[in-house]
Amino acid sequence: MTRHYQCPGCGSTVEYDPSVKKLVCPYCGEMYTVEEQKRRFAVSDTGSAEPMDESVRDGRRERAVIPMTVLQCCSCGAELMVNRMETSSFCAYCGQATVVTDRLRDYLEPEYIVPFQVTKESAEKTIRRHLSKGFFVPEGIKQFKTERLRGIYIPYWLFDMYHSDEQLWQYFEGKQEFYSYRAADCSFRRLTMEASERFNDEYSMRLEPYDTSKLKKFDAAYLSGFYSDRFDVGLKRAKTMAQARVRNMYNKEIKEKIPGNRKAKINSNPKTDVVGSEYALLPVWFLTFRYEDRPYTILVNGQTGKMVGAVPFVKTKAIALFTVLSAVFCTLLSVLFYYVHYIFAYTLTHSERSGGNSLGRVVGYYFVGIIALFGWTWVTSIKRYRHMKKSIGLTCANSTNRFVKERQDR
Amino acid sequence: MYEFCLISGILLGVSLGLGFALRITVALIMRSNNIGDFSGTCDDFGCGIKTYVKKDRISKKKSRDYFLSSYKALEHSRDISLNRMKKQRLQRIQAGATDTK
Repeated sequence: MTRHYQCPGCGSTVEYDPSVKKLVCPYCGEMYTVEEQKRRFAVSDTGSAEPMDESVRDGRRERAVIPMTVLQCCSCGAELMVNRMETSSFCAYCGQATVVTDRLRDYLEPEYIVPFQVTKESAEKTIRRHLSKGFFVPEGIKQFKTERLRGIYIPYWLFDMYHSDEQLWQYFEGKQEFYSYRAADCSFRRLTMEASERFNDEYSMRLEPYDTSKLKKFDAAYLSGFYSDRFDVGLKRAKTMAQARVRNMYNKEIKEKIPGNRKAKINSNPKTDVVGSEYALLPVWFLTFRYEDRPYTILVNGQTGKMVGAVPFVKTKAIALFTVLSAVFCTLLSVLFYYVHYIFAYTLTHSERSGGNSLGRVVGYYFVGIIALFGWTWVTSIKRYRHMKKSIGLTCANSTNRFVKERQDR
Repeated sequence: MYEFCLISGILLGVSLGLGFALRITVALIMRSNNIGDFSGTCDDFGCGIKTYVKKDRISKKKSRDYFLSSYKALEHSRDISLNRMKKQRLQRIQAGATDTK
């Protein structure tokens, strides 16, 4: 069953406008709050309920190919194609914003929603501003032509959790072995776990944090004018993932606080309690453009306006910068090291009788330090470069492109 | 001696210089082309880690019984925290639509 939210004045479909935080009629310009809509609006329902899919309710994995469901647009009567996860879309013929109401009802209605606070225009502007400032961004990307810009409500599970642990760590100070004990806890309030199988978890995680103190009670009217999906990652699985995430965050922070080096956790007694869970829809803008025949999808957090994505860099510029920096650093450091070595050699030859051993030790430490610094620069550079490549891979992933593409255009 | 200082100076200078140049280039590329990295910490999603017992530089490996009092203190704080969280959650649900921190 599909639903349109009709304007009491002219009867056309109203859509939620983030800039005024109201439902706006695109024809007569009337504005209504979501609360007013409940009292005054006529809603137009059409079509029949579709059969419920038990595999989705259980949270079992969806098939790779997303079958489409055919519904009827209650404005023009044309066929409205929605994929199996969508709860709101648009009619391809008349552009009418449509909410698939029986899906919301049958598949656990969301308890909360964060309405879009960033408009379509400002999302695009944010992306253009960021990309145009980038020195290494190719000109073709700076002047990108938007292929698709869609506002989608993504399903999320929110968890209230408590984690406590007592851990015994082994660490070293020089060659000496020590142990460290920590008993600590941490409570998490509305930890966000994305609940859509088809949307990459790592990419969605970068959109966080959302301000969950701004949650609103769910109302389907907020969906009007946007796309939205229902969850297909079940609560049980999401809970397991949330527990793993909490443990990782906790362990990482504790490890950072342990002194010394070569740290290893020897004993631990972790306890993670899930106090409660909620189901909410959170807003994301997806902007797709093409560069060298590949689709790139940049995300903007629909609440905070935070932009997430990575684009390829101009190799010639990178090589030029590397060459210039190499020339400068190599010359400066070579001169510096030459003088340092000269001083060392001079001092060593003139102080062989007194204090030669201690100076020899200093020279030893000096070389070890230089080798460590050399290793650090190369290892961290390679790590960062790999991370960058991975981020670019996420931005131009076919799965992300499909997630946005497999929806009806307006 | 002069040659040795010159060669070793150039060798170290070039290897470290290349390393620094690469590090800076990659950092600048990331700053320009990679936007919005975030993995989350305990502070982002909660109240941060509260440490009840912290003992460093313990010279010998101790059994769990050695820290029994600490463990009991943590268990006690767990009960209190869980009750508090349940209470806060209930208040939040009763408060209805808009949540306040």
